[in-house]
Amino acid sequence: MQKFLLKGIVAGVILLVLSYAALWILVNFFPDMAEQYYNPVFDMEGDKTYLYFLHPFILSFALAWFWRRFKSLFHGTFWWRGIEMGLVYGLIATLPSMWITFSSLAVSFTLVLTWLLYGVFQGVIVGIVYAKISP
Amino acid sequence: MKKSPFFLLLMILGILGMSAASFAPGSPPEKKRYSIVKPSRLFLKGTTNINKFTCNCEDQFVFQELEVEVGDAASRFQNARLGMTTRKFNCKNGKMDRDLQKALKAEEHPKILIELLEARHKPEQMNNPEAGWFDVEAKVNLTITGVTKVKRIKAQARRISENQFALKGSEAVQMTEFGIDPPTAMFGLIKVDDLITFHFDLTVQVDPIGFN
Repeated sequence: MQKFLLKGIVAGVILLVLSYAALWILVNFFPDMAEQYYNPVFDMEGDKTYLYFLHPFILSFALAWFWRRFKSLFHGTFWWRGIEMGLVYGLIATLPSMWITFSSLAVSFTLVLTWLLYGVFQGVIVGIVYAKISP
Repeated sequence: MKKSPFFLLLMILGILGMSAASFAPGSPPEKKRYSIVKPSRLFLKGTTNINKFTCNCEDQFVFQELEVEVGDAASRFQNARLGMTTRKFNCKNGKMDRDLQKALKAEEHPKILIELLEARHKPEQMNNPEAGWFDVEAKVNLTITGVTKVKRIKAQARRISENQFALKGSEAVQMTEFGIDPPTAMFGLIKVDDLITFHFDLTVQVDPIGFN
């Protein structure tokens, strides 16, 4: 249990750093897209701020369980196992949720596409971390 | 189209033209009544590190009266205190509207207050209906979020008809000067620049009132 918690925290911290870096890149290199977040739909200030910064740990612990349960299905180097896990996560979790998000919310296709790609990226990063520290 | 009482401040500048043209310098204080007519517009412009924004003032306008004492080079005003409702700025973006109201502390200070003190002008320009656009400068007390600063606003005025004139100009204001923290978004990655500029382009109707 202790190892499980430690792995989840390690992966969560890495995702947390990457999530802020992704926002910084978005604002500084894709300002038109960043402007889309200046919308009442997005409530990223105030009391909900801590929820946003907790999401990397929600994901890391969820994928920690997933890795422990299904890691035997992924083969090859730790790089490839991590990439494959990220793609699997993107296919079964991120793609369906982004599909329904785009179909029901007033957000642009471009924005949803970035969320899909970012979700897969998160899965890949977590997969590589777990494939390395918990093969 | 709704107009803002803030416009009245600028209307004063045009009133000078009416007053100076009709009365000799040093005449006793005179009451005037005025309103804003179409086409008129007041808006503020600002920038962030990723975009620009424009917020139109949609406050309700009511007829106003004040007293003006016209001098050779300056006119002085009494009871020329105006209030502009903070919540009436429309940035066409609900989040930006909310952030602006929060920055201006709309709950504690529902009005931006403007007290006109005096206005400076060139008599020869005001007395010449063929002058076209002429320069005017107003000294005001501007109060935002309870902080008051003296400002000198420069504008241009032009007589359109006997009782109508046009006013246009702009005034830049630093939010931090009034103790306002420029709003931020996305965990501080998007920042509104400190300097915002008020723009006005007004058509003013002046109706003289007898002074007793």
